[in-house]
Amino acid sequence: MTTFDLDVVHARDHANIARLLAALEELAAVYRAQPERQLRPGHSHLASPGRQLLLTRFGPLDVLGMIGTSRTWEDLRGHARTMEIEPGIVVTVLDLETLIAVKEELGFPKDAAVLPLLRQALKERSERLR
Amino acid sequence: MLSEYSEDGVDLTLIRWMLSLTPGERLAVLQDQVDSLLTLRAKFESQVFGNTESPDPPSR
Repeated sequence: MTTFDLDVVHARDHANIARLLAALEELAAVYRAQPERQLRPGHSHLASPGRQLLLTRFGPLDVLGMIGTSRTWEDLRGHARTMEIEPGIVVTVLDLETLIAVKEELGFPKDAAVLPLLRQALKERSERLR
Repeated sequence: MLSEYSEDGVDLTLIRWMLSLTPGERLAVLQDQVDSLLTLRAKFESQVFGNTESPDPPSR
């Protein structure tokens, strides 16, 4: 079975959480563990370092207070690159080196299984950029 | 309360969600994912490598 979701690490300051809550409201985001209960995340959930596993009207979305063992948005911002995915819509994406480091940190079999693929992708990309 | 992750780190909520869909809905979800990834890959390549080729058209 193939599964796919979008992971977002967010800044946990008050103003950003307010913006994120408004976006999640627009997306009709509910906790996907029990979607029938229509439980919505609140400010305290998004202020925590925990993982909010949500289901939106566009599919699964994980909103993460931190990733790896303790990497927050502030830790990660210097390890990300920006991409314009549509005209005027710029997103910040974790670089491949840091993604690999995070998966190495976690050490779960699920993450270890994709590491050879990610390392090879990094190698190929480096060769293309030479 | 059901567990959200297996011991291997697999997100069980995603598997349960996918299993809650009909086969046709699952295929539609996967097709959307493929289309999104192709579009993102093409944009990434054009920004990083200067490849200006258009992305492959969506398969539906």
